[in-house]
Amino acid sequence: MQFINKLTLYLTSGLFMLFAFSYCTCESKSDQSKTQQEIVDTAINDKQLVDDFEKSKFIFYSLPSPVETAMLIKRAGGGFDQDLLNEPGNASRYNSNLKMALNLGIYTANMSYASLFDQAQHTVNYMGTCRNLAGNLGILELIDEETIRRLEENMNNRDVVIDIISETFMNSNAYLTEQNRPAIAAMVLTGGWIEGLYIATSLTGGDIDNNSELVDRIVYQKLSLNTLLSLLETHKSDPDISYLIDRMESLQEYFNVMSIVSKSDIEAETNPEEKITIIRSQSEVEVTPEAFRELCNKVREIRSEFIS
Amino acid sequence: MNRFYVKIFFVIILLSGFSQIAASQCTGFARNIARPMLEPFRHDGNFNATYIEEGERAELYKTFFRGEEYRLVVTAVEALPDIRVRVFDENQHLLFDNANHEYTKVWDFVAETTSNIMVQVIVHDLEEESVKGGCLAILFGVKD
Repeated sequence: MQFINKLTLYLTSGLFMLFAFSYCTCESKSDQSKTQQEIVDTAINDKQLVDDFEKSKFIFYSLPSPVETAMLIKRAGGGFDQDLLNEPGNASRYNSNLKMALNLGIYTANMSYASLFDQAQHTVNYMGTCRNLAGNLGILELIDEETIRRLEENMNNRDVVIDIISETFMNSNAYLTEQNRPAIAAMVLTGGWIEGLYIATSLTGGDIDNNSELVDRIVYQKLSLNTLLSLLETHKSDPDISYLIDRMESLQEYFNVMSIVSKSDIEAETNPEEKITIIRSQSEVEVTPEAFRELCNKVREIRSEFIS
Repeated sequence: MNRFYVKIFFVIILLSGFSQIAASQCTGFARNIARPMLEPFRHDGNFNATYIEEGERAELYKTFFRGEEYRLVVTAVEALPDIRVRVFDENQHLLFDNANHEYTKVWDFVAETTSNIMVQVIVHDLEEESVKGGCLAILFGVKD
């Protein structure tokens, strides 16, 4: 009986803490309340929806991943430049969690970029570097011998290689989430994002007339930066994240002098047979050559800081 | 007093173990069940999965880039009831609602403009005595 009482005490305490944790999770998203209210207003007749707003919610911020960014660069006509990559040899100098996590993201971006351009040997080298960094970060299971073997066996099969990289990136986020280290996961994502932006801006040489499609993609990263800052804000009590917020806000100042002008509302056209929705609107970017050059310089400065 | 702290420590260890097991199961669910549903699109590599219960909801914020084609997969364990998925633009205009398409778990989007979108996921509340819960995954694929 005494055992049952103790068990009840433990379980009650446990449930209370679990509840408190869930509640805190929701409370930390209070900056979303305006958005919630606006959505409620537009659908006020939907009672089910209104009821649902009273319940718990989980928030995900999905950034363009290294694989997606590499695809965007390639589709915009960007080429491969080995000199832009962070040397694998630099990995030995990253000793803090911040530097290891940022550069795990940076090396994953390098690996994605190399693989999209069929640079097999670079891809394998970067996988090895990522493995070492992941081990130092305590996620040794991220890249095992089997992954390296699969990669080496399929070096000339781009589809398989990119699939392995995408799975590795997913696993890094997943393992860190499992270990309840979401701030480290956010640092990895930040490293990957800034590296993609660094590669893209470097390929333009800071010249707005060099590749208009790529310039367009770069300026629209202004939207992704907002998502990244929202993600970082959820972990701002961590001093390393606080530092990253500061760096990303300084970058945001350079994006803020560029405008994305919407010329029409977003329209959606759904085709139920093909299970597809087309999203369209008219918008254009307004950016001066000088502002673009300064943005490229700022990106290079931040990235240099991250890999130093 | 010391025994009190021992008990608290015991509870924390227990809870941390529980949440780790739940998170681990959701990783497996996302990898083995949700990810293959993206084919033939290429998974972007982002991991968005969590343990969720009836009546709860999730939101995902993402940028769609002009000229890209995306596949959205929102799926949960069978124990959970239907999942409602709605996609809004940043001005909260509804772009897609899977309630109009038999609560489908897979849908494609063609972005003819670059814009931020929000995927809102609501797990229906059956309002039964026992609350059902399980893993939910929200994944995106990009057409190569």
